[in-house]
Amino acid sequence: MKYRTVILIITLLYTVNINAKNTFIFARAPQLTPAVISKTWTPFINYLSESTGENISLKVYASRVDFEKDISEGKIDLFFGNPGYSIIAHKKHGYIPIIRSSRKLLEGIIVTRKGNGINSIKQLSGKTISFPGKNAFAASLLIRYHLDQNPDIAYKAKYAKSHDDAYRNVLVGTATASAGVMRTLEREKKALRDQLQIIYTTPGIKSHPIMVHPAVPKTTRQAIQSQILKLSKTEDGNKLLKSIKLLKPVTANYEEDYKQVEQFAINAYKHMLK
Amino acid sequence: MKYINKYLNKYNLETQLTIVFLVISTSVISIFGTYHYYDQIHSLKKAKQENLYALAQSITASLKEDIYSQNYSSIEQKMQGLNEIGEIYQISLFNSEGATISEVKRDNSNNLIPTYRYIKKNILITKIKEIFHINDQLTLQIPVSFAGYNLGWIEIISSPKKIQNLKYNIIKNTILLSLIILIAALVTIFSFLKIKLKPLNQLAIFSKKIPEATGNKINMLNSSSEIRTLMNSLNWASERIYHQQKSLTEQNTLLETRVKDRTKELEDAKQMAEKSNMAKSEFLSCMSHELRTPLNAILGFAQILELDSYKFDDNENDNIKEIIYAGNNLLELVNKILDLTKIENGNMDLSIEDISINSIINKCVTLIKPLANKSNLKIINNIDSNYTVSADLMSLKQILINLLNNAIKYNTVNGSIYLDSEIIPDNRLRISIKDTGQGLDLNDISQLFTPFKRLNSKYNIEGTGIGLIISKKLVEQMSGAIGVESTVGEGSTFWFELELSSNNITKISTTPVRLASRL
Repeated sequence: MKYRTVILIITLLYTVNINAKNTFIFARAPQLTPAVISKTWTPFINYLSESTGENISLKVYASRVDFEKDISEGKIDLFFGNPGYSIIAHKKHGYIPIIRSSRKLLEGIIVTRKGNGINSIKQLSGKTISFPGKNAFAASLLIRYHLDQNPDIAYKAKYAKSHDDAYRNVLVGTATASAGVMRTLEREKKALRDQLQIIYTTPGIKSHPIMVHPAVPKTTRQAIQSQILKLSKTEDGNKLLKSIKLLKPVTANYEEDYKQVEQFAINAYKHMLK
Repeated sequence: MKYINKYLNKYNLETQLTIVFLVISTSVISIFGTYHYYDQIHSLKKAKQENLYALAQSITASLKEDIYSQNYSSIEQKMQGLNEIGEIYQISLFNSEGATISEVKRDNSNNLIPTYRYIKKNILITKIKEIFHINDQLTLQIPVSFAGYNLGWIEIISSPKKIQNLKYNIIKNTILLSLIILIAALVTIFSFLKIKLKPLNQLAIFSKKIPEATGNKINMLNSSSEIRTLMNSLNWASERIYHQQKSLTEQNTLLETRVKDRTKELEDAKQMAEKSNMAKSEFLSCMSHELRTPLNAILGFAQILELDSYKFDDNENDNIKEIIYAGNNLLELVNKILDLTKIENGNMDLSIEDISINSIINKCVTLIKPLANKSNLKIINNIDSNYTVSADLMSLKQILINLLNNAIKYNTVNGSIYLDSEIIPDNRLRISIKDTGQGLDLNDISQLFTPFKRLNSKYNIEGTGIGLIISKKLVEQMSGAIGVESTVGEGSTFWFELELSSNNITKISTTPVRLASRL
């Protein structure tokens, strides 16, 4: 009787162990506060879990450094981040891009004050350029990468706390030019915008992809991919996609979409490759 | 002052004082109101200034760190966050280089919104500066420093609406206060004036009644000393006038009695005189009649004797002629006296008719001409008038003959007689007969129209002495007038006037030029 009970318990425990599936961690790069990310991404993650039948859990970060560490160490199963992180993750651990928004290209812009006689980046040599922070992807890293391709342009970088401050530096006169992106410039009031002119736009980069760790089973990867693509076919699905800014999702392809900017990413995030 | 006094004197004393007090009170209260207004405005501005300064200090304190670290968007947001502070109209922040960092201003919906006006000033504010604008806005410029660094300055402009509302309140209150004081002052002044001027008005009314000489007195012992003095004088005058009037009335009554007595005496005397005159006329009339009968007998018999002149010698014939001559003279005198008495008794019947002046003058001149020729006198008749007068033919003829006779009698040898006529006012015709005799002095003239006062004796000329008085009476009976103008040594002009007959009046009015020339 005793043995029979022990065997039953062991059998039961085994059964439970077999039935308990793996939980996949989905991380979102900390461009916004954890609270905002939780609020906007939780419905999407829930949808993925339900539609694929997999356990997917959202992970948010208060610090960029923690996120970069997790990616750099390959601890995360799935993540949504800028192409720079995506390229590093691919190069280091073989993360695979599965989905990206076909809607927008990421491109940085340089603006100056209208009427100050500066119409090209070449004239910015010796001048101060205001950037919205050191790590802003398109507005800082991407622009600096392209500017650095021209060794003639010896500019002075001034880091502001936000896009808004960066543009205002130009108007106040504490910087000759400001780096930014179209989205943040268009967000400004017309009265302010009208005093600025775009003198340079970087070549565009395909938007943020969803990256999947190579250890995630292919079936799961494909299920997730197809479930996201499905979303764009319904109204409710599109609403969900809009909330996480993944409009008109398409299948991402590393070779086609991100290969050509590998060098930029390696340059910008070399600390993650160590 | 003189002009003002002259202007004010058009009104009575009460109105004058009212005007003066009104002007003075209004002026004083206007000055007070203006002072009060400016004093209040000054206090208000000072309070606003202190308020704004405190506000600016607290704003700068909250913005210092952002300015230092160039958090421009944060500054912008913080400045927009001051929307609730209605006192702020505009805030501009400048950095140490004079460039605008941020600027917010109230829009039409009264919200503080960024102007995005980025300018650079060539000044640097290092001291607190206040600027008052005409529209009651206050601009305060306060330098901002942080951790020993000069960061620039803040320029804060107060809302005009707030201060304007307060200003309107001050104006309203000042006007209200001034009006209340003015009304209070006026009520006090007018009440005072009324009380003070009442005795004066009473005295004025009393003084108007003084000429009525009732002898009444006015009693105002409670009034001011000047009024009492005036009252005493008026009372004295009233009493005096009463007494004088009384004595005057008494004397008047006495005089009237005397006048009545004298008038009665005079009337009696007049009646006596009239009676005497009547008696005289009756006597003359009777006497003349009585005289004429024997005189006619004397003359008749003398003329019979004259027919038999061959029977008498020359001396006797001369005596007969003297009897006839003297008899005729006496008869003429008697006739004239009869005429005169007839006229005086009103027994003379006149038959007034339209008489052509031209024809009667010519007739009379023809009649008198032989007499004139005797003295070698020229009659120059300048009357060529087709006017007619309303007169009695016989009387007119008598007047003319009489006057012409006199002109001949009292003329010089080889002299002239001029006859003229002219139209005078009131539709009358004046006929004048001028001689070139010795003329008359004033004494002569005064005696001319008196019966039996003859100048003949003086000039040794014969006459009855009643020709002119008869002429005068006749002219007066025909509603005319008679007169004389004379210069001693040059001659006399006797004239008489008669009414033109009505058919001439239309003639005159249709010939105004001629009338004017004659006048």
